[in-house]
Amino acid sequence: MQSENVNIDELFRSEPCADDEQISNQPHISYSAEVARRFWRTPSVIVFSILLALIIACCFLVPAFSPRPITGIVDEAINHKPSAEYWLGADKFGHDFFTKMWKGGQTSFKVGFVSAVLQTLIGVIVGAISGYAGGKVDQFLMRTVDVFISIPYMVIVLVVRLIMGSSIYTIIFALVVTGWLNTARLVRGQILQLKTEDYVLAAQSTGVSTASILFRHLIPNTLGVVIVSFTLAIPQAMFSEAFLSFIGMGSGDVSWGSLIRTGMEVRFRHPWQLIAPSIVLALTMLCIQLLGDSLRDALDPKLRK
Amino acid sequence: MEKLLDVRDMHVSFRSGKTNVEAIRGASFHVNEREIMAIVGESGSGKSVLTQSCLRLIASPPGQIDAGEVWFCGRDLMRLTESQLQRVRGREISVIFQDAMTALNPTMRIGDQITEMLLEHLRMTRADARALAGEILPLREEPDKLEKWLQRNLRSGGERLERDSAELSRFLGGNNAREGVERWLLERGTYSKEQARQEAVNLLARVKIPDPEKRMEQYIFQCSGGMRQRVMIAMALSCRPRLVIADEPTTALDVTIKAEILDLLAELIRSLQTSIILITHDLGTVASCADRIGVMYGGQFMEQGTTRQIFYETLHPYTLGLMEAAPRLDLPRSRKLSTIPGSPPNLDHMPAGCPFSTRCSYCMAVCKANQPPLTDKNGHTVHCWLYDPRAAAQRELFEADKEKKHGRKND
Amino acid sequence: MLKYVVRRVLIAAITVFVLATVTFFLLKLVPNGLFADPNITAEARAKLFAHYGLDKPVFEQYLMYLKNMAHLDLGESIANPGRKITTMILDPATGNGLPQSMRLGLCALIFSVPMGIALGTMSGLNRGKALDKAVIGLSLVGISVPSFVVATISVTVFGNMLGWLPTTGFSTPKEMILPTICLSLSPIATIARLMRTSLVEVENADYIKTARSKGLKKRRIMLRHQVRNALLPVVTILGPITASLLCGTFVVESIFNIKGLGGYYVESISNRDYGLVMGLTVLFGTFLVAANLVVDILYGLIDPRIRLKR
Repeated sequence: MQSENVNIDELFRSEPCADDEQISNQPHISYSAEVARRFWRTPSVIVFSILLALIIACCFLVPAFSPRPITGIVDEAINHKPSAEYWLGADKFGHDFFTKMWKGGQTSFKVGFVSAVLQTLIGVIVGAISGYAGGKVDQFLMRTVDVFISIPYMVIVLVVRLIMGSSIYTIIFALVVTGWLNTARLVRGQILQLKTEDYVLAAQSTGVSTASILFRHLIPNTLGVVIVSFTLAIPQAMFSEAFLSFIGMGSGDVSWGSLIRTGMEVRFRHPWQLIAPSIVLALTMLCIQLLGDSLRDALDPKLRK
Repeated sequence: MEKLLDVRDMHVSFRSGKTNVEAIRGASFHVNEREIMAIVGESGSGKSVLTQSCLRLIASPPGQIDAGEVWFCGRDLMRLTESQLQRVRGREISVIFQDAMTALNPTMRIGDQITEMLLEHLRMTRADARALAGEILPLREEPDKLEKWLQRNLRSGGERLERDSAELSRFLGGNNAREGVERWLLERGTYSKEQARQEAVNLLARVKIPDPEKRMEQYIFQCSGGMRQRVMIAMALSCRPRLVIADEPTTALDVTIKAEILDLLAELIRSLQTSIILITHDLGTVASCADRIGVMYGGQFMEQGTTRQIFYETLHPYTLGLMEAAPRLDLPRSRKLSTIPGSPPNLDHMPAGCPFSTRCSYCMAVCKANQPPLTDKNGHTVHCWLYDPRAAAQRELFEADKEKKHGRKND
Repeated sequence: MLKYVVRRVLIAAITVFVLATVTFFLLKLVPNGLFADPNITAEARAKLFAHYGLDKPVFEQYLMYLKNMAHLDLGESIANPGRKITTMILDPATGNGLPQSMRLGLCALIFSVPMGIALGTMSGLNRGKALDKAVIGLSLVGISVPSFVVATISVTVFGNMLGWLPTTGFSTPKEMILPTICLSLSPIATIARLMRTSLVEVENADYIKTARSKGLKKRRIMLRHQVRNALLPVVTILGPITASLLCGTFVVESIFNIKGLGGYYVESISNRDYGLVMGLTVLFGTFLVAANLVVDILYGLIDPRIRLKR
């Protein structure tokens, strides 16, 4: 204690209090960097991202570079057993099942991605207009949503299919028609909340144009919600596509759903034709779902200090 | 005066991921019997965390009480078991939270929320009786301790106490003491739902809620702000606790209702002979009603003393700053409101020394490097290096400024 | 509350009406019309048109259709001449069709709702423990693996390979086990996840801290305050859950050879059985609207914030 006092004695002199250095040295992290940091924090996210990237790469690369045809009938390979050349064997048309499986994935991803983009876009626009305009416009749009939301999507898909015939666009169209409703509701809720925020009122009172308020102040602030609903929409659309293909109401293109359906019929003789696409589909869903969950957690402003 | 609550050297931290943030860094204070102790500080100074930690109410994880003792009626609350502590919470120490709208269950009727608490503490269940009998039996040879136990756990006093001890000793002397005591406890503790309901209605009437019978059936969102806070107060006082922790009870209210609620609280506290810890960020609120004041900053007490001492014999530069920052009607309007430069400390990056050293006008090199020692002047305590004999020069500066400011106040 | 119910009922009625109308006019848009089969002579086609009332102006057909529907008469099937669509759907003789589907759906609903809530509660109240992690993992799998994959694989394993359970039908209790489980997995997972999130959210609510400060016992805080409030959001997803069960029945019925409505629907579309498509579409729609209505009213009843709103 005594020896310490000797040192301390010299410290009793006035000093400027503001410790500018210390204050400015505090780490300043932008929101997106913070989100990214939280997102990549968990090791499982890295693993599943790599896995998903691998699956997507296979879907678009394997069919493009595979030397084995998957159209027409390949006589010499019909019902080929799994071998070094045909990793998962070949089906009743002699198509290499490994190649065909990844080709099927293309359909899934196309449907999932395109319809998720479109339905999010429509949802954001309708939701933003409804929330910002309020009054009669809001009433009308929201009642429309109320009506549409209780119509089962199956019904719309099947009726649309009856009219437009079966193609990948029918499926996308039907999924978009039924998929934008939730996004619209979410975005509307957010906009209603944001509309009363001071900075929006300030912008309004200083005569900033409506479009500018909408696109520069309101919509960017709903981005978190929109991203989350987008990541949920992708697996949902892929799910629906697989489901429709499975019950034979799909696009007619080869897809995971239709492969599982045929796989089911030949499950005793060629179990791989059932198991392989089932596993790949389930894994893909798992990856997207998990990454979506992690992204939602990372974006959650409640956890942000 | 006897200390009702004595909190010694509390350390509380919050863990998030790998970082550990110390929210309370060695805070000590006490509350005397029948007094209003005010804890004042800016938001983030740790007022709520400190008081809630006394009842181990902070969410854990992430919160964690690292060290400290909380002596209340001869027991260290930090060392009680969870079920022992449950009998203290609400019954002997209760809490009034800031915003009754979120602090009361939105889907439960007001009446049910009050009666639920009364029944929990006043009705003796078989399990309660068994547990209590277990506590009584070891005391059978020590009548003094037994009496104390009765006072504390059964609210027995005066004639009732005599009767209780007489009855108990009869059972304790019998052959099957445990069973006898349990049966006695069960009989003594009968409390019907109807009784609880009636009590709740009386409580609501007592906090001046009109038509209390009707309010019992309502939900919290059906009440106005002032009514909500009254319900909260009625609930907190329902078991006649010996100490009430009021955590910014008027912050969420309009100015006009604020005074009403504070008056009501003061009146009830006086008539119930209860002590209160009044947490606030507004020094003006407590000037008129508190007996003693503790000023918190950065998870520590800067200064503690009686209201008079704090206001007229201010020892800490931070307290002086707080008083300067309050708007005053008696001074010319041309006077600018003064502010304390800088902002409250970030708990992640606390200075090694005094937490206020980054904003203090009388800062010395030592303040930044070392924790200030405690100086005690007739119960008026302060943590500040200015009161070290070696800091005489700097202290004169402070005294001069204080003179100037206090002088202005008394003009 | 009355206003709330009236409003919901009104929206539901409008929804059914809009659905019926939209379906009617959409089906009028079907290219090639009906009876596009080139083998049918013009004369025969005209006769058929007259028989089904398709020769009248569209608007008149529409009014007829609405009138008949009000009488619960859905007309005659085209693919199965002479059979009333109402009888096909209800099929009192064989017990197939609607009763079969209803039974499957109800079994799954009754199984999955308590199961999901129980799992979610166990997981939410034991956060971070092994049980919690197991439930999280299982529910992720339940959400990720489509029901048709589960159904196909379980039928192969438990039915064909191990022979423990029958692979077709839905009449005896033993036959009901596999289809019910297959159909329930994804709703169980969804409910469990939501229940868990909801519990965690409620746990951080101020009123839980108040309940603790009141000195209530842990058990009582959990049951009366935490679980009760956490259940509210779970009620709201019962509507979407019912919808997904409806779609799920299509798959499960087809895999387990259950003669329910799903098969009829897919068949009717392949056959372009106009009346049947329309009847089933409106039926499904009405069913879902009714389910959502029940959920909305139920929610209003249990949440005082809605019940007491004037």
